[in-house]
Amino acid sequence: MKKFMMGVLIIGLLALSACSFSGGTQPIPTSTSVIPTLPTGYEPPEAQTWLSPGRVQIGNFYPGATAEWNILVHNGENSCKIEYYIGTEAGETAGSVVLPEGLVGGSLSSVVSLVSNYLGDRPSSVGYNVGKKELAISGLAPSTTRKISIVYLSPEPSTFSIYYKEPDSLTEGFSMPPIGAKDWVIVSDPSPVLAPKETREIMVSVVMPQGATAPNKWEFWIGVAQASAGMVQVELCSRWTVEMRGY
Amino acid sequence: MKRALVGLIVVLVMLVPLLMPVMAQALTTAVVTLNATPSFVSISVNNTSWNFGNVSAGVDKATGTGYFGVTDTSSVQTTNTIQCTTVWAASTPGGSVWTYGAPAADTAQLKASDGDGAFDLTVPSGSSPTLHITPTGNSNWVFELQLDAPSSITHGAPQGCRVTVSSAT
Repeated sequence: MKKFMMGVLIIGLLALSACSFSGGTQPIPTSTSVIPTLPTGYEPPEAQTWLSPGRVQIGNFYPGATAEWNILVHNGENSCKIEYYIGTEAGETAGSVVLPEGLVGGSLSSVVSLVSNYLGDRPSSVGYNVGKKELAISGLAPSTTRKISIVYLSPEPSTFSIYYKEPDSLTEGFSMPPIGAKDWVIVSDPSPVLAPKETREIMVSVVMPQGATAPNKWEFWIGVAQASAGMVQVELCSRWTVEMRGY
Repeated sequence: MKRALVGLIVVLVMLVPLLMPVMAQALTTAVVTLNATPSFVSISVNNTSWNFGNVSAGVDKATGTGYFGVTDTSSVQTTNTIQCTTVWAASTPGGSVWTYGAPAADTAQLKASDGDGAFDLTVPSGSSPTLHITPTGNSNWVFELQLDAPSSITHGAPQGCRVTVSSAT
């Protein structure tokens, strides 16, 4: 009986120690938000759109493994720029424009700049009709047609796109991603709608299928772009470097 | 002795469910590691449009030097590339469309430069050459664009394209 119990004890201890070496071949997904903690003067700007972190490093990766990380996407101020042609009659010194999006708080303080291409004008915003989104402008010269450029802040939310992207350039020692890697990267919310000054956590998962192959060290990017009707679009990118197990 | 052994076995059995998740968690970090340095990438462009107006065959058009101002408030050095991501499209329905490429008949492209007006960088449609590298974060910069006009024009409909400036650490 005593020998039997000793045997059970030894088997139990062996089983426990075996767990620590052979168990957990599938990693539990890990997820950590990175709130930038930076020196004074380098805090993320509330008024600007930003993406964090700039670089994520995955190590000891292998076919069948999963790695997850929350990136942070921040929408800055929704700054709108529009241009209108406004004509004035003889004796007329004021005009108005209807803004495609409203002013933040319905306040004239949300008008960032108001510029005329006619040197005789001294334009200033003097009133705003919230219901009609109509901005009243004074200080215009009579009998002239000019182009008025208005930059203003709008409370409207912005739609972003978050997506897998092949690198524009590679970190030294890393290769382009393997064919099919695009399908391994899952963005939990690829089209988030963010209010001005809102920050959102977006989960990015890298799920490498069993049997898939990859270079020892490879890289992909996560791109973030804000929907824009303009000719020039800005894309913010986060580098993701992946080192496979054994390297 | 017998009681002690029985006690040990009971304790062992009770510890198994408690220790397994701890071990699994420890194994997770041992198997796949994830690291990120706190940093953020942030650029914005003050002008998002450029109307190049009427175009004559063989006559290039350009913005002023520094027409596009980039506010870079990133916390790290950034490499900024440029690419034509949407090639020519007629802005009137049914209009004939130019081809994007080196100037030829109804074929035009954009060039860019890094604030010096040299227009020494062709803006390609299939790759993203480097336009500007900030030496440190939080460093504003400018760029400008030039239209390399078609050598001859038979497609007179207004044309437009889209350029993407990408920023990465």
